[in-house]
Amino acid sequence: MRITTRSALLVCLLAPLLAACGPVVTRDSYRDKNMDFAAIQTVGVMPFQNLSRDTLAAERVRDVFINRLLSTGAVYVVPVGEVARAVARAEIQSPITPAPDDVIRLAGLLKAHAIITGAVQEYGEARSGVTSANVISVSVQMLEGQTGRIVWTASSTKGGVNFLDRLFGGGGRPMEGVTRDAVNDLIAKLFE
Amino acid sequence: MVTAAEPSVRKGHSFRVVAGALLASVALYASGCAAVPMLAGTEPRVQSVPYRIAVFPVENLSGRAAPLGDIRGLLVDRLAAHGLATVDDQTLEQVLSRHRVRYTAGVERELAKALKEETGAGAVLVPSLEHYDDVTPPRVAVFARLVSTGDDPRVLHVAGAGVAGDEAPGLLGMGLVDDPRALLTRVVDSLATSLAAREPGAESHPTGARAPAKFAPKIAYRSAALDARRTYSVAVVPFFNKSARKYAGEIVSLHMIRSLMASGRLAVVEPGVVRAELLRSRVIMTDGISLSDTDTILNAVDADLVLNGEVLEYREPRGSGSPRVDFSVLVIERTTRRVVYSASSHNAGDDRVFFFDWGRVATGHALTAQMSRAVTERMLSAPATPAARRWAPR
Repeated sequence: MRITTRSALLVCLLAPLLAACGPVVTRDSYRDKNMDFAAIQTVGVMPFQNLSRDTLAAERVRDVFINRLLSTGAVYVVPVGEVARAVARAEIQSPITPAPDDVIRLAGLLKAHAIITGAVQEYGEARSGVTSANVISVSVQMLEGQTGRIVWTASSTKGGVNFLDRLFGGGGRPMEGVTRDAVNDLIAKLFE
Repeated sequence: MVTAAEPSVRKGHSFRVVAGALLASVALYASGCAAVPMLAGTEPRVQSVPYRIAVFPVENLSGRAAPLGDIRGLLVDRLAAHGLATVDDQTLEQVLSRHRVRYTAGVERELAKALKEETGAGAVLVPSLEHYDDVTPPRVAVFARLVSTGDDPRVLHVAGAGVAGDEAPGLLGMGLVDDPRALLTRVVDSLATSLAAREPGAESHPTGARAPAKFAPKIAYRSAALDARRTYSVAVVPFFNKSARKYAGEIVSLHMIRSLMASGRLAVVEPGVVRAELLRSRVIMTDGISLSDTDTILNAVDADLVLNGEVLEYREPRGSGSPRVDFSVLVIERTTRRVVYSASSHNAGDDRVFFFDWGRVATGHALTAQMSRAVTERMLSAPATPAARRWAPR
């Protein structure tokens, strides 16, 4: 079979384009393969960082996350008041983004095997043309209590304007439902 | 014959169709005249109670100006109409000023003892105005908590009622109420009826039907450590209010107290006693209740469980619209010092309402009452949360 100059040129042109269709090399979750997650029985959930316009977004999402995590029955979550007390006792300056040393101290005070931190990037109404819908974007990470290193991270985005919203309008789903979906997604990623 | 009979048959048929259509439309309108769910009967029933009741000034949780004096006067009158004797105002004021009492939204131990000894009152009635809005359609919601006097003040009964002027519009809007005073009278009358109907010795109002499924908490966790057959005493700590509505924390606390009392299986510590102990121990809660706070409170009031939570949304519409309520509950047990129950609950008044406002909940009071009842039912009757998730093997 003879390879013509034209076909060789075509292959050279198509190759970089086809490369873009390859599998995604990044994922929206990370899980430390060396970590024994079964040893985690108690966790403390720190206040979430709020990067959205809604001042209460982080507290709402944290509240739903804690309740959902408890309801799995797999881990025990230390009450938020106890976490706040431990933060004050450990004199942690930035509880939403604790340093590894802070995590170790907190885990010791709370008798927790891991500390969970999180950030709410987006929370509220998203617009696309004349259509609007509620959207949430949240990321969470788990830090091991003994070393303070990250053993699991995940992010989730739910809601937003979809094809049906554009076609029929309707304003999307309520914020509570979208929040629950995102938290369910995160919990599923934690135990997958 | 057949020909002659035909027009009469047709006429009879069309009459039946018209009559059927008329009946159907009347039934549809009449559905709006359904009984107000959160009101007890308003028939005065005279009952002799062996003690007098000291009626405290009305606590204003409405967040706006309201005729508090009128509400209290109306309540005293209606109690008298139901055969319940009250302590006269002058005697009550003298005791309150003698003991320098400024907080009258609860009863602490010393005050309960003083009231028993100095006025002879067997119980204190603490009325709380949850909502008062005179904008058409008006909305009114009131709570009344009966607390025993003496050495050990206990919550004997909690009654609450909330109505909106457009709750039952009825045929051609004849059931609409524009006068807030008329609503207030209905509400106060139902409270007095509820207080009078309380069975002697019974410490809660009777349990009604189960809360509809749509009001069930959206997320709930129940530990196996919570024994469904045991009787617990519960200290309810005021909820954290993170909503825009003033006093939403106190309002949801009252709803929870009522639903816990209604269960008949939980004894609730008088909130005034809990408040006094929190102040005495200088407990400052910034972000939820800690375990040391739990120990302090439970040891001071000798209770088994502490119930706390936060209110994220409490929206009562002005004019037309539906209420929205969002709150979470956390229960910590004394001996294990662990969370034994937690629930997240949120609802809107028009949830699962598709046709002709059928099933719409018009007031925040009615909505929160259903939600708190569902939260309590889940706490007491649901099985412990099984391990729904397991960690993936390494």
